[in-house]
Amino acid sequence: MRHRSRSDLPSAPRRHFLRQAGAAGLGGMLGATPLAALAADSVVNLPFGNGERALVKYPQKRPLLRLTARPPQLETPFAVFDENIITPNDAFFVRYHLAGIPTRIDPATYRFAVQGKVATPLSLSVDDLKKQFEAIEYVAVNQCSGNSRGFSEPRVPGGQLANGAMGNARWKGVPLKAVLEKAGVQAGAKQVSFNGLDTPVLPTTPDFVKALDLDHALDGEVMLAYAMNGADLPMLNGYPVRLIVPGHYGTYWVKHLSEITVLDETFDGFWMKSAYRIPANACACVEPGAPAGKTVPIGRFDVRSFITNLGDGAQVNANQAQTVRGIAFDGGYGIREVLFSDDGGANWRAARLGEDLGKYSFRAWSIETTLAPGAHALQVRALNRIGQSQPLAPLWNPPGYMRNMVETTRVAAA
Amino acid sequence: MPTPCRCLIAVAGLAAAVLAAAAPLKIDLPKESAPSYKPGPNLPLVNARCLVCHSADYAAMQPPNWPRKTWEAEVVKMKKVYGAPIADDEIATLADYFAKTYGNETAATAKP
Repeated sequence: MRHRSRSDLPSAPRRHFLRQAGAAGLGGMLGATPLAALAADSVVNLPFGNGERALVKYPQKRPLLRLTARPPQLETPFAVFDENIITPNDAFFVRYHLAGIPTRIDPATYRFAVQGKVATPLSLSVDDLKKQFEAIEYVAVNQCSGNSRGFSEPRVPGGQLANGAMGNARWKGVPLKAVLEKAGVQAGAKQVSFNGLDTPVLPTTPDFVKALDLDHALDGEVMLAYAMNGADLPMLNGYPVRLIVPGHYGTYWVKHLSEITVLDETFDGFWMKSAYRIPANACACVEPGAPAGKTVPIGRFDVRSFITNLGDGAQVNANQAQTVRGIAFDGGYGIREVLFSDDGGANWRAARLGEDLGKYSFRAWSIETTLAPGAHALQVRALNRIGQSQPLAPLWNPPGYMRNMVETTRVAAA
Repeated sequence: MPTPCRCLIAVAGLAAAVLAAAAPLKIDLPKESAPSYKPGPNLPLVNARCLVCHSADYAAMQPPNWPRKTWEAEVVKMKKVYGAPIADDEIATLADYFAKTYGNETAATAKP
């Protein structure tokens, strides 16, 4: 196991690359897929045990797959990722930990505190952010640490997600760095913690508070966002201000920010010290079923890629050129190459990459294929700019985090 | 061509939108899908202890066929880690319910 890595780059498939020449038209686009059909139903059956999910409409949302009602946890139907490289606000997934969630916030009275080891504690409104600081804007993926947990084998406890606990949005706000500099970080500061308005039901439950190292908090990219895709954040995505930690798992993207606290020690709250931790090795994995061993806090996304226009079990036309398309992303280095195989991984070709919306964004890809009659296993594998890729076999850990194996979509051509 | 009347409506709508942007945001959450756990032994205790902090779908979505020890570990985690109001002598009772109702001791899965 210690020889495996989420960054492993296979040498064998690269020998078989055939650069796709020219750009074929979209005439080969495939017809209705099972994924598209699912969106019309009121219940979706995710492909694992107890995977039945109702599609439920929440405020400011279209019908989404409901994992849990209280607190709300909603997964994005996968067909959404084929509609647009930007995930619409009303389709963006929702994840809370604690049932005391805010349902009414008045921007006229809302303030968050900047406190702790600072020269000047601050209390800031959304208007203050907009008027006192220069705005930044970028596209970034948010993804749950446990996205795809339902596919872990052996299965593990937790939110039983398929692949829809991710989304790609254009965030606008203020660099955390600018706010911390205005408050004046004191010498000796080590970390910054972030609390939101969501609270536990019982005082005995640990409040959801996360922390970043000071140099990360001051990197100029971590953002206090007040807009998402050109609109206010939906309530369930953190209105009115949430933390954006691009390239890093959603656990750090604290919603409804209430307190930013500069600390001169390593934050030891439950959600950092005990939860959201991964095995402290290169693959963040252990033998399936084994305990985690030594752990560290979860960090950057690994590399992932998906086919979005064909679901498992789709029927396609044989002997006709068709376009297969999808998305790829990584932890913020940028996608360099997306490889596609239509023969179960024996041969790989490079797909065309779509517009580059920034190193933290989904990257669209597409490729043409002509399939003979029969069953075919389609696979896609991305490579980022520092050489990280995706493993061909699943990597396992006890909390079911960071799944990123090369996914296989089985289709039938006739 | 829009009539002047329609223009006025549009302007009024825009003004309302601007006002709305500064108004409090309030949402009403849909009702809980399952306000009770499934019928099983000691259901009242299960509902009393396990609906305080979260809905029943937290258990319903977990993988089928978990053994009793896995459910017991979950119950213990809820008590020790998340501070659920579960007495020590209730742990076995709750684990028994989950094993028999959601786990590998259900009528459908239990071995004869």
